[in-house]
Amino acid sequence: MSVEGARTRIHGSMKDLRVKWSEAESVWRDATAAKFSARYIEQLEDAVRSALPAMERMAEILARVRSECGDPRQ
Amino acid sequence: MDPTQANVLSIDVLQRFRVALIRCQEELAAALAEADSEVDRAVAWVERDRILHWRQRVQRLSEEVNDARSALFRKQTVTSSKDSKPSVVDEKKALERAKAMLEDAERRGQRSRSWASALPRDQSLYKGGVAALATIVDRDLPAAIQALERMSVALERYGRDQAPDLEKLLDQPGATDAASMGRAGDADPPPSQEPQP
Repeated sequence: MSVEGARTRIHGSMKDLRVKWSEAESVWRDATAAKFSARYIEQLEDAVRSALPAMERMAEILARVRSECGDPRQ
Repeated sequence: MDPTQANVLSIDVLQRFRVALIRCQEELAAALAEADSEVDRAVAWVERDRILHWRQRVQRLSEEVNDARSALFRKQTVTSSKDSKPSVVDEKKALERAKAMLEDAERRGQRSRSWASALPRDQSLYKGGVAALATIVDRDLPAAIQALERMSVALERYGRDQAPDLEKLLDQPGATDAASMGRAGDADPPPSQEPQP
């Protein structure tokens, strides 16, 4: 899998998780749910928000590396 | 209903969310590992393969340029039997083609050396960008999955005997009792902390 593929996979996994968390939140409304959300879900969202641009940039760099260092005959 | 209390469906939803979180954790871990692996391979490819590849290619193409130049010179100095100059169009094209290929190889060799120097720095920046996510995937999500498991088990037990304290279960791995989450339809706080007979 490429970095771009990994980025797409993370994006998709988070999308699925958000749907499931939304379902959970709709029926789990106590202080523990809020604490769980702050401790795990929001931290995860923040980390993904930082990771995806880094992955996007790395994917662009690798594309340039392949283009500039690759052998057109191969 | 007390806003701090959840619906009875919470048990099912907690379990479904736990399954989704396990799947997400596995997918994020796999995606990060494969992305890291691709970056590592790219760095190794540039450092160990490309520089040598283009050095050898430049050497070979330099010889081809010299050969093409010699062929052109030979043709230009040959006099035909009718005392007319033979065409050197093909030789000139061959020389131009060899020179263009040499220039391209030299440029790619230079870029390979440049990337061999720059790519490790870009790799470090990339690793820094995904480090928080990697830590959460490796450490925090397994803890969250375990906490959800403890809560589900405690809520199921609550159905039989005692009310669980989910916040305690969230904070203290291994804890198993007390109360903060009630069941649907509970108008009052959860019942006794004492085990039912």
